[in-house]
Amino acid sequence: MYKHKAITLISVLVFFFLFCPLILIIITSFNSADSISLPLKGISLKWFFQVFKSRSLTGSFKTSLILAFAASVIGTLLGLLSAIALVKTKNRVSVFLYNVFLSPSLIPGIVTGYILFKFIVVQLQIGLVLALLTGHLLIVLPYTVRIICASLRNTDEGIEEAARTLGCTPVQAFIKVILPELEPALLSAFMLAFINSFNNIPVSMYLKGPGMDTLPYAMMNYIEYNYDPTVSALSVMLMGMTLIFMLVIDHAAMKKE
Amino acid sequence: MNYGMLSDIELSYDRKTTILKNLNLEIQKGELLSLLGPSGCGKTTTLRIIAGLIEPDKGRFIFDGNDITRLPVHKRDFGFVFQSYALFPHMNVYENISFGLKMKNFSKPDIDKKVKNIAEICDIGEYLQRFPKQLSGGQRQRVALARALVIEPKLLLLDEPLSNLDAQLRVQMRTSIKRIQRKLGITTVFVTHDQEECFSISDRVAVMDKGVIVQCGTPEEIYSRPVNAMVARFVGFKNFFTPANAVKMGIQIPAGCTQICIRPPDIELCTQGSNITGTVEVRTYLGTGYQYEINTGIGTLSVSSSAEPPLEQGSTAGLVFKPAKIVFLDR
Repeated sequence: MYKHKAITLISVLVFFFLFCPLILIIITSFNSADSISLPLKGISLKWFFQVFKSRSLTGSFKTSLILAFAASVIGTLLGLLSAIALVKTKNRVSVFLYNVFLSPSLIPGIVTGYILFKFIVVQLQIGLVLALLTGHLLIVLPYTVRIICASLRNTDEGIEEAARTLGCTPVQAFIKVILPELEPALLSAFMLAFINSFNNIPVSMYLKGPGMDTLPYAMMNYIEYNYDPTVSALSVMLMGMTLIFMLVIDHAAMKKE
Repeated sequence: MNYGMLSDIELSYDRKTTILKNLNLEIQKGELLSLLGPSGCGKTTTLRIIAGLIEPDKGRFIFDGNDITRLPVHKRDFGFVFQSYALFPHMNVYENISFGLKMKNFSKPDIDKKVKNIAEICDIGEYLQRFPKQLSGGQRQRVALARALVIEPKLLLLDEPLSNLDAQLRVQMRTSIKRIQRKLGITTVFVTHDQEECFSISDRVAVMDKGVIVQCGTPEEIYSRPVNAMVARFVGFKNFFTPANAVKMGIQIPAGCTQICIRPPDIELCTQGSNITGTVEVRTYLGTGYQYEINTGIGTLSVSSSAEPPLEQGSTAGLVFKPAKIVFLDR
């Protein structure tokens, strides 16, 4: 372990700045006062109930959930298939394609959103649901491709060949011995994709249609007109969800160890 | 009897670099055949062609009377032991060994009987519930061998199976491999770059160099009658000289001979009646004796001798070649 006073101090400061706002949000969500304020006026759970009363928040939560789930499932599957192709073909083209796959993460979300809007909504006249899903796929693919590629590169190719010498067709060999090795990577790819899709604002902003808000966008709208701690309460619930996700990934990784 | 036969196998990488050319090899039933050669000579590639993991550009592989050149790996029923062992990390030893049997739809009791039997033979009966990462190198090696053997393959292919083990274990394992191979009477092709390992367990050896088989025969034949300088070097010949120099030293040479060679222990040190004299340049202690680098009129010769007291560096020595041990190369 590193034992240096300056490093300890810096780490404490960094963590303080990282966690302080989160802790404040948690505290204010239990406040019975009508605005996000400190000190606490009284303790109450009413803002948590308030979340479920707001049609725009529950509706957009459902939209975001379905969208993030669909984008992550499709993104993870596409990521797996692309990773197989990228890792198995060893030439300059595959290196180039790998970078192409990662490129959406390098382009600002607002640009991706605008281009997609111009291209698939205005030019191709594709339905909004499909457009939104496509946009989110672009957001999640860099994560899934990178994670699955890394894990696939680390997997001994020999085990696939061994399975084939023991009577497996190439597809059977992949399913029986390579896929179980990729399980933790697939899970973390899915989780990361989900979180990134769920949190995204810029791409959704351009592609969402009337009456089809995503949650972060609805939250942004909400705080523009209201100053009560409903959004704090919702944020606490989202933190809880993220925490559960992280525990699941951790558990899966531990099991593999 | 010819069990398997590779004929006129050719393979190139990217259609430019030739890896194998005109390769012919016969595999006899029940034998342990080794492919021996320096790294990059194409021996592992040859093994992978036999297994069906690589398809050759040209040539045929006839096995047990059938042309199986284009038959996919999973239909061949050959056991393959990989250099990295390639055990399935998420399965325990029992599941690893039973994998091939499950693929062949054996019944549960049959699988259990076969796995336990082969585990007994390979001496890993106590580790069946362990996972590969909980095993030592030697144990992993035996699991890989058991996994390949349990399907009762028509041919067992071993790709440098001992190269990841330490020296002592290597000697022990090669004896076990030989014992198991004999016991099951299984035809085996063994790839190695280690000459001693190869000679100690093989019935026949094929020496490979630059994608061709240079010499094929029993270990004794190859050891005593190498066909060319490359094979000779590979099996421990260190001293090479031209026919003209040999004549100068009073050695009778047969017609067509292009090069003469002899091993370090087959040169004796003496004071008179020598073929040639020289000065001792370097002396190294080997434990069983000494190795001398002796500078002579025909170049530096390596001589090993256990004679006491040893020659001092810088002193003059007379050398005599044991006539029966001189090898005349005609290629």
